[in-house]
Amino acid sequence: MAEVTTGVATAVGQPPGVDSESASGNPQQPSPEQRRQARSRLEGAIRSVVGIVLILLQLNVFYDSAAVLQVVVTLLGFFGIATGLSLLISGFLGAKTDAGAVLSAVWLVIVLLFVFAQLFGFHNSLEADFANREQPPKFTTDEPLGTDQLGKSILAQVIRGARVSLLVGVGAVSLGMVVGTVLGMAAGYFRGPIEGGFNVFTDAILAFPALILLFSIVAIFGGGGGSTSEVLKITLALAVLSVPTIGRLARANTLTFAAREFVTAAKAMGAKSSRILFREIMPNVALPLASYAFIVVAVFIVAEASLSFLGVGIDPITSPTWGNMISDGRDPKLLEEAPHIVFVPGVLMFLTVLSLNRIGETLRAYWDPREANL
Amino acid sequence: MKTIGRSILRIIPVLFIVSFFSSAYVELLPGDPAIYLLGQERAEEPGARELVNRELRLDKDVITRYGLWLGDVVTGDLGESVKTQGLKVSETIRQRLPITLELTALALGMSLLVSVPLGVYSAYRAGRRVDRGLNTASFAAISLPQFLVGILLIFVLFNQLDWLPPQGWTRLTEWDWWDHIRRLIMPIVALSLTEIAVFQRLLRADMLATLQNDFVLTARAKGMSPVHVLFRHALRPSSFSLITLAGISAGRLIGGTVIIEQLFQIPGIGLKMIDAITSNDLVVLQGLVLLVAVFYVMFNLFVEIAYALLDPRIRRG
Repeated sequence: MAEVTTGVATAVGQPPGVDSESASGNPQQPSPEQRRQARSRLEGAIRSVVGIVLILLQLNVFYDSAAVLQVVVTLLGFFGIATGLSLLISGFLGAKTDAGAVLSAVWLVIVLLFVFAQLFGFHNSLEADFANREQPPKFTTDEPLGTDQLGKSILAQVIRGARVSLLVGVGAVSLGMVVGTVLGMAAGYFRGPIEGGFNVFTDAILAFPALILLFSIVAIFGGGGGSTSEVLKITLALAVLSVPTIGRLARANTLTFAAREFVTAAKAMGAKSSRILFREIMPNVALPLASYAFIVVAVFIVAEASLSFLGVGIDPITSPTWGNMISDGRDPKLLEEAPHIVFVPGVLMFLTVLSLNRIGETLRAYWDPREANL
Repeated sequence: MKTIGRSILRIIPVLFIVSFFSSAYVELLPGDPAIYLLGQERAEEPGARELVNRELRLDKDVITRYGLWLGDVVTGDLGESVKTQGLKVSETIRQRLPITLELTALALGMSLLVSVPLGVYSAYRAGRRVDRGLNTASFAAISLPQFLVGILLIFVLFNQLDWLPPQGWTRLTEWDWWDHIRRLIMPIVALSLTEIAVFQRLLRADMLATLQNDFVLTARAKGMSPVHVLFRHALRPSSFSLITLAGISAGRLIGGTVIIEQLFQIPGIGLKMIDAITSNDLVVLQGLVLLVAVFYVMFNLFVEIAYALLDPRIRRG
């Protein structure tokens, strides 16, 4: 497919010789840079359209055909959309733009819209409808993403799942960030017994494998108590998990900044410890940590989904999440009949986690130059 | 040798804390433990409450209980399930641990086997097309949750192609090697995919730094082949972070096989752990958590020792 589209693009664009002529400075002629952008816009548009058409074909025409064909068509479709969109972005915003990061940001905004979709009264029903169960996704019907084995709308479930995933992930990270940063900064600034206590605490938590610790916390506090308290419980458990890692980073950064001249100057001017910590050190420590937060949100979304997948997370009946939707459809027999029950939430989760990782990486390169040149 | 001694000393308090947490579970249970663990009806059966009280030593205070429990654990007695009469935790472990260890070892071996050549090659060809392709692929693999990889494998290799069985396990003692291997493939691939990506990225980064060194240039100038320089000269000094990470991964995988064991219905430690959680079988859960945590701590210790052996600079430090 790549060959086809580049073929079209070069056929429509100017032959290569013309570029060098126009560079000689005629203001009426588009510069080579503009020319390149125009070409990349065109090729991007073609690739995206071809990609979307392939995905639509896969969903509506190839649905019953051989596996290999389906997989190839789907992969080509996604490849076309991804490369096409990044070409479009560099076509409109210039070649230096980080197209991957822009795409990730756009996707995260879409997921955020999912979260608020309910406020707009969009697709609210979670009613089971046996007559319409296991409907494959068809964009022309009422259920563009299909229905599950009980006939519940996958779109409605996915939207609710997005809310739970983001709520848990962002909530846990915010909580962990606040507690971890404060503890870590205190340990790094005051040293002495505070640091000792902090080290013992983080060592003990980090000595447990994360997933097992998560299990234990959830197991101790038991099931039940409605979906709100289940969400709260998992959020708290994840926050506890994130405190040692974030705290250690905060401590290490505080150690370096506490030795810097501006802190000495503030001390000499008679600033109190609280002022130095919150006005002088915190801005320097918090910013690199904030970029780390995106990656932790991604990890937590996967962790929450893993718990739900194992059946020890959030109750699927009261509140569908991406994890328990995937868990619902994973039975080999059901996978045969209606793979979309797994793959719709699966693809959404993959894209969300990928975007969060990508944004986190970009921010880290931007804010924390030490880590960037790895 | 001094470093090794110090590492061993340092894990002792950690082991104490870990085991205390494992044994203190019961403290945190809400309400009457017997009713909580057995449910109202079974708690009133004759003997049931006594079993719970005896197994959990509810008549003692926390510290005494921990002491007694630790004494038992050290002598190999991890207690008895309060759910299934007469099921010893140590027996459960004896049956299930080899399966989990087999999965972990094979997954780790496969990860290293694949990621080392990929990492070395992508560092050698840094910035070229293959390197950029691998970079994208490994980034995507990192963002792909384990259970999704597993389901994808089942979908393609069982549902669509019907090459491999989707779930279940054949014990090695049944001597059906072919079936054993067929049932191993999907879990191993699902377990190692993320590790491969992480290892590859790490090795590439370290290798890039090593390849800047003068001794690499010297070796090339002497006319040694790129393969020889990459694997004989540059790989060893670049592999320290990888070894650390591999050790931590090994510890993590033992706990992390939970998801894969559940998905593929493999009767290892992880599957039992899920059973114990969903059926509130506290004694079993306690024992298994302790086991996994001890493995985790021990692997981290091995890593430090291996590190000291590999890198002479650290030994005296």
